Amino acid sequence: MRALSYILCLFLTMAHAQQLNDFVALKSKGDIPADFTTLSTRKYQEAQSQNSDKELDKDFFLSTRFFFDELLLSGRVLFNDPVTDYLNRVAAQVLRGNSELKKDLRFYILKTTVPNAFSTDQGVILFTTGLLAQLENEAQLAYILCHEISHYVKKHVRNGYIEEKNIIKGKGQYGRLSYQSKIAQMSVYSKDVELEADQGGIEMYLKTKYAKDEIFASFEALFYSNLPFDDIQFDSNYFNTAILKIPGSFYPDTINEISQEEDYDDEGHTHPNIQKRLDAAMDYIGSKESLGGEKYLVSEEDFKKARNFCRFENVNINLYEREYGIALYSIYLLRKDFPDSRFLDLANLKAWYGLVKYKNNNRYNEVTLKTTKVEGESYILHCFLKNLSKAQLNVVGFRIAYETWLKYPSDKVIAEYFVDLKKELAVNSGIKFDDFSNVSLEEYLSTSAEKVDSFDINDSIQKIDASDLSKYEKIRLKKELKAIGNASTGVYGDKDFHLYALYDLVKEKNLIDELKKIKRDVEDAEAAEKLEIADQNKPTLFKRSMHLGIDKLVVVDPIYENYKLNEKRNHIKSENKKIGISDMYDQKYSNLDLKTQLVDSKNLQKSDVDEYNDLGLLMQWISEIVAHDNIEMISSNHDQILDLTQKYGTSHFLFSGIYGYKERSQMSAAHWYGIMMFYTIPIVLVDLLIVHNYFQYIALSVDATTDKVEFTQVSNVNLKSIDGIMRAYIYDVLYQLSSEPKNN
Amino acid sequence: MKKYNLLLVFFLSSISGFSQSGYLGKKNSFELKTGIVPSYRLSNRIENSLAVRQGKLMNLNFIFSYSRVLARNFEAIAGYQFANVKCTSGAYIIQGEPTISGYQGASYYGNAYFLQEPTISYHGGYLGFNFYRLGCLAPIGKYVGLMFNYGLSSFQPDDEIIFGVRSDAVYSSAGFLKKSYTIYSSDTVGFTTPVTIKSWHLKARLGRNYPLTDFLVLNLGITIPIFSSYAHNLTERFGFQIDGPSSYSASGNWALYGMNSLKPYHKINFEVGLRFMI
Repeated sequence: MRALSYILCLFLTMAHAQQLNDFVALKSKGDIPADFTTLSTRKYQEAQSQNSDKELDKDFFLSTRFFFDELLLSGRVLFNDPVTDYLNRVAAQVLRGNSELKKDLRFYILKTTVPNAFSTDQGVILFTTGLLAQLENEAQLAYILCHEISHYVKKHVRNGYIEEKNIIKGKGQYGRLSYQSKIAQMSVYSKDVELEADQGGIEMYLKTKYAKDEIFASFEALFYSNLPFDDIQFDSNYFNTAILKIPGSFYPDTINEISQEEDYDDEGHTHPNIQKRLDAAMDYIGSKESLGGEKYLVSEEDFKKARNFCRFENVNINLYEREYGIALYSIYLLRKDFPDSRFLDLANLKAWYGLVKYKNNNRYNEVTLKTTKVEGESYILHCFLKNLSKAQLNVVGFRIAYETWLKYPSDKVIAEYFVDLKKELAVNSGIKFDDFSNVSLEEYLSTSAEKVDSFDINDSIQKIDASDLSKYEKIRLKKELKAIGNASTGVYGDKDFHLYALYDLVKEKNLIDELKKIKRDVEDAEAAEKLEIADQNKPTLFKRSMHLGIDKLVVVDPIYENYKLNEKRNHIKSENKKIGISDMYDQKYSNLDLKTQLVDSKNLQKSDVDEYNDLGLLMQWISEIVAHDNIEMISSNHDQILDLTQKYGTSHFLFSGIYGYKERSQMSAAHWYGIMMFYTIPIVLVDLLIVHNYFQYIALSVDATTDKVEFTQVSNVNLKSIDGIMRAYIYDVLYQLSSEPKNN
Repeated sequence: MKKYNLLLVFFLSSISGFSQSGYLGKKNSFELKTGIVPSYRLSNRIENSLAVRQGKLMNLNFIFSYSRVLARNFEAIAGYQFANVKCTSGAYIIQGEPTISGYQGASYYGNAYFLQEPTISYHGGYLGFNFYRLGCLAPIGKYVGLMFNYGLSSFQPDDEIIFGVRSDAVYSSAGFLKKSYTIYSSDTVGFTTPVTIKSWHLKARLGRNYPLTDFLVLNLGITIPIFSSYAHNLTERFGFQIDGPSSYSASGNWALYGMNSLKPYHKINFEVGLRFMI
């Protein structure tokens, strides 16, 4: 029986490892909970009609319902997936015997690397993948859940809102406070609330069978949660292969030690420092004991499985948030447990690809960390990335892509990254291809030693000096001789390591000719494109249209936001109009030869979980593409997005938003001129006094096969965003996308 | 001239090369508009044997036009404008001693007034364009534009003026800006050949279009004259010679009378219209 359970356990572990080797992304499953499918307006109306608390005004319900729903519908919140299921099982342990409270609460996972958990007044508790990735055991997770549940039970969201309102309005004890003091007072209140939640959490936790000491351990986990999930020395041979030899001089000898103090100054923070929380917790616990000393009540294996899922998902998030260095360190850590993971191999390739692309576009600082801000063992890796020159980075990136491609020769996604990195090496690396060596570094060093034995370098240098050669020829020859001399003694320029890193390809695959051809082809294509762009950019009085000839388009969650004159968002109007706008995209226009399919967050039904997941993926994708801006590159979600093109039968995705707002005209030179003209004074007065309506319409269409933005339109319109007008703009965009180019 | 025609064709074809969507795919529209030109004038007519002098605050005109969207922020317009021009001389007093002579041998002594004045028709055609600004897409939203307007008005043989001597004291002032006077004596002036007045105008336009339905658009606009020119085909006199120091006496003819009456119709015109998109 014991043998059988070991076999079962082994089988489950292997199955989990396999799951993670083939990991793609965490996705929600099953029926969509009502939290996601109920309109915010309805939630607001219900909450307000059921409210008997006189201190809560409509702003409370508006802001909490609408803002929180934005997060829920961002596609980043997970439900019914393995991690959320596990979270709910732990929550059930914590809430055992408290069925009333259990009915009120819903637990979801939020996909973000930020280590956090929070609860809402609606009974939704969100736990981030960033936090779960950091925890050591289930008991720590249980304590943090207790803390969040305590926030809900003690109505901290409600109390915080009222307290903040009182502080801002200067009611009661806050009457004579200056602005700065009011801000400080909010922070003090917030810290008090946290300590209260700690107490409530402890009380709840001690009623479980989880180990008491894990309360303190969870504070420590929170304290170091800004660091990677582990702090292991980075091996300077990690990126080396049989051919790629990165010199040790590229890695610093020492790390930047972790300098955080537990008793840091928390003035102005919303949370008390960890030392204060620990002290308060210890005082409160005193001699109290929990009912047991378990670290796991649900399952250790399931905890580790859930944590690994979160760590893998965080790599995904790092990639689309362009945190390539952080992703590489996480991959380094995860590879120790999952050496054969295709996901990690692909993620490693994507991270290098991102670094190369940003380096070649002179935006490297955007995607790498300031080394002075990095602490712990990952410092070595981040310094290494900073030390690489453009040429070196291109070669290392290409080498890694080549090796990955060799490992997965039939993988189309990997092949795409490989091909593009080859293009980068050919076109943007700035390397003189003829400098690439066709011998290995070792071979070069030994040949140099042989050469030096046969002649006297110093004598040759003197002869060059005495010759009639030009100044430049002398410099070049002497440089070459000195290099041979250095190499013969085993001293070669570390900075040239990359020139030997592709010698096998130069020798056997004719890489140099291939790179030259790619460069020539790209330059020819770019020259033709430049002419076309110059023609398109000719100044003209008349607005030009584009013609893309698209026959099917996926319209992704159109945005509508309406702002009042005081710049406050008009939540209800925004939601109602958003629904109307979605209909405008969805309707059939007889003049347009275009099919549109809507993926809309406000139109989700219980069974639309696939659409919900698609929405999340598309939102991640567009945020990454927008962040890349003018860098043309394959997105980190490219493989998943390609699946969507199959599903929807088109590769064209439209993202759009309309932002309506009101403004009064500011006094300008034109107004002064109008006043001086005398007769135009009434016009000036009217212009200054009336409220002007504006809206901004932004539309962006992306081709998923190339990850390129194929169409953009930004219209700033001095009109009210009434339905008829918005429809005209929407039609115009759809027309431009669907109309055939004139020359076809 | 041929060269200019070619240039025009090239211009129109080049801008129509910029593809455009129009309003929900509709690029053509017909529009019916009413224009109101505010101006204070005094009109004279005979009503119940009394000379009525009534202040007029506005002049109406009617427009029918066709427009086509040629670029995303540009449309060309061709239109027809019609107005019933009520000729007005105001409170002009024919003074002098004798003030009027030479008309069928009659002579009037003392002050004489225009007692009833004719109405003539104005028929105009125009070509113009609207340029949609502040991010607006033709034909919806705010525009500025220019139009070149050519019009004809004429006095027909049936048109006549009644003038005469009336009391200076007001008989009744019932009605808005309306005063009536007792007529002492009157006479009618007619003429035999038609008088045609031609006018050219360059006008600036600005306004905005609001979509009401998928087919119907409401237009509110203003037309402002930049340049106007008038001409006429003859200088037929009223049939009498006005003497005396009055400025009218130097050019007292139908054409001038007509032109002066026409001018208020070509001042700032406030327009309200409905566009039918097709």
